[in-house]
Amino acid sequence: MFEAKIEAKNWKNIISVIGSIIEEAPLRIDKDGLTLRAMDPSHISLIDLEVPKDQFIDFSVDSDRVIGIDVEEMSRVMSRGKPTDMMLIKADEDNNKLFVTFIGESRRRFGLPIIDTPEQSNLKLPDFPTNAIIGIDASLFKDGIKDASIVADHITLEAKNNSFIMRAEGDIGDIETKIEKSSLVELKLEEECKSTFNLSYLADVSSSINGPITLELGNDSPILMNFEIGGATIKFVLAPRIER
Amino acid sequence: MEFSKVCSTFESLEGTSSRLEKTDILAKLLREADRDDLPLLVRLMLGKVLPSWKTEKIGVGEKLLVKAVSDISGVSEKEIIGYLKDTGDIGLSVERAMRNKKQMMFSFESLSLDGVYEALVKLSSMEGKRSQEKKLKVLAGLLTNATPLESRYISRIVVETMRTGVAEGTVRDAIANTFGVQPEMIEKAFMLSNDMGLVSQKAFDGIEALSGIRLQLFRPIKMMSAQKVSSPADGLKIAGRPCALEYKYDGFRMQIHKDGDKVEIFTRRLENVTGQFKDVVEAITRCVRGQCIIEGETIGIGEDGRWLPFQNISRRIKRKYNIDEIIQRIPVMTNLFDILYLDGDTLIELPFIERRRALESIVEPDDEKISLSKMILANDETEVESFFTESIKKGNEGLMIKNLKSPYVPGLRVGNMLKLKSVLESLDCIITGAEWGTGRRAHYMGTFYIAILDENGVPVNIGKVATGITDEMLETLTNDLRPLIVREEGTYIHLRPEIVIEVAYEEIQRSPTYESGFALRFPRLIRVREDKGQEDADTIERVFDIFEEDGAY
Repeated sequence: MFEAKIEAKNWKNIISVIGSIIEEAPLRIDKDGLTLRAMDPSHISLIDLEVPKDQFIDFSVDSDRVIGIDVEEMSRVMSRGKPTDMMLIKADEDNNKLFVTFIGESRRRFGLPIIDTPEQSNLKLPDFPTNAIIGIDASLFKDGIKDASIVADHITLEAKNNSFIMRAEGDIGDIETKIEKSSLVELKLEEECKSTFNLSYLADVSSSINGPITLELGNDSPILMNFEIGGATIKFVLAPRIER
Repeated sequence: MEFSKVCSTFESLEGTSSRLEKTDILAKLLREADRDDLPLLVRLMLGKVLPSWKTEKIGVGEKLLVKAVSDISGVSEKEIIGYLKDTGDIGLSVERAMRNKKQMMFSFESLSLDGVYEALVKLSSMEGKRSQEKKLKVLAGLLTNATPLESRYISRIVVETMRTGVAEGTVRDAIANTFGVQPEMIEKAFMLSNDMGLVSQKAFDGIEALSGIRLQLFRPIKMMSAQKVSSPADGLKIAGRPCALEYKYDGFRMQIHKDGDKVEIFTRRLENVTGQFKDVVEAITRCVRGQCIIEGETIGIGEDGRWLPFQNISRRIKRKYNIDEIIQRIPVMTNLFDILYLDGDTLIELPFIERRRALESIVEPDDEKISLSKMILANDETEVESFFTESIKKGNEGLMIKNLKSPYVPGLRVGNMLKLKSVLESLDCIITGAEWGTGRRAHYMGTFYIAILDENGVPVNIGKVATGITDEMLETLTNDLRPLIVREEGTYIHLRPEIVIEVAYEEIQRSPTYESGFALRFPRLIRVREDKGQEDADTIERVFDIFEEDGAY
């Protein structure tokens, strides 16, 4: 038995982030809340998501379980939710169904199949050296990403001299966004560092973030993005591109 | 089985043109395979992925593949397209991109043959909107775990340009070698099942299982092909006296499987066209008794009751909607001429004349929808000539000349069944490329590059054709070819070799210009052969024969 209540708009945002990485999500449910850890099919990025029990309005589960969902189907259902709707999630595992009920002026219940998607067991967050921690507002970060998308499919992130730099170079030109420490939420610099990343992964994952993002950056090393969305705490790790 | 093993086998195949060596290389791989791996392995050897009875396609174009490779390698699409221009081969280009990989990843799992197949099946099952995005992810997931060499073959497999240069005969011999059976047994089992994968599995199980393969209802087999003869005298010489003469209807050949009320109709390419020919299904159910596999030629009937040329009904083959309307507009009649199976017995080894009698015993023609092909027995040239003239007057293409004693031999063009045609020489060629037209025809493809098949079943160019094409034909052809575009270079369009056209010509000449070593003089397009697939195109062997023969006088 699993049943939980959450604001529809929060769940919608959570699903949107998951959907930018994977199509099928094994959601792990236990007495502390809901977690998900998965790698995208290309093995370039990893997501670690946690929605603690207290972020739900109601939450009850009788034993640990994994519920597999088709993220695209779920987001289509979520697009039918209204901003003020409450939402009830209920698993009927005997019939392999997950019921999503929007509670507003009416009660609208959608039944979705629970799919068989095994957990990527033993998936650990990779360990890598970090030379800088950058706290940045999502809108600033997203602007830098969108600017870069005009000229290239990859972006170089750099921390030096009390500033954070986002730079891209392509056939038609180049772009540089420089953000001084004063405009950042936080900048802890142990050492100057820079790494290059696939833009579409960063763009997809950051598109629905609103609050601050904390970036952990190294030299030719993966990047770790920490942020919260819809009550979920998310860590997103992306492997770098290395020019040879 | 490790996918890397399969790939290194394919790589060594590329390194040799000797058929014997190829056979050894294939046999070595087959020996190491598990029973379950055999069907897929054998299909891959023949350049195919999905079983031939599956109608799905993988549906990945070069463009999508390049995007996936760019995403996971970090090499830009532009660079990869540059490689493509250098190498002319998608496999080698992707391989190079993967060698220059810039994108790091978190983990790597080595690929198994099963795993690759699973991904390919997934790709072929994705349809509709957003399917391209989904395919992109599956492709990326597959390629990310591939070594550069593996990526070469995955690429060729997904864009369906896998050319292993291995002929069916070579695979047959490799299977025979591996399991210690006679090649003839493999050949026979293949004829009856038309599934080399199944045959390899039965060979694995032993001779008993192999010889247990039977013709099965609703599993079509390759149709027997006719050999062309140029005169009544030649026909009689090969077919013997007396021989059977039949009208050669200008229609559409069908293999019809029937069990009571259940009827399925297959084309020469073994495509199921039952849905398009509900009228034929109805007529067969009414006029044919028993459980059987029969063959016939279906022709269109005009308003005045005259028989229509093939072009008029060719559209019916492709029609997927409004079928009732087209059934009304272009009624057809089926002329039955052979039987392969009746009430549990396989008849293909019976002499032709006995098969014909068996056919006559189960068919009650209404001569409106179902007829038996018009047949006479002939002893001399005058009889052949007068029946030929009669047939042409009726609007047919010529005559079929049949040896009374000959068995039904699936797929082969041997001297058992002959055709004598009135029209000038023509070849069935595959379109491999095209150029955009100019002026009024700028939106249409104008010039078509045509090919025939070499010894290994690979298309080799024999020329280009730009005349004999009506505006209507041009529009249809362009629409049909558009989904087959692989890429464009300037005005030249690379096409996936699928569409077969009949091309008439004055003469075959030796030519260094084209891969085949031959060229056609004054080629012109006669018609599109919707009923024929790439593998039904004419072969270099036949071209050589015609060339030799023409040079004889």
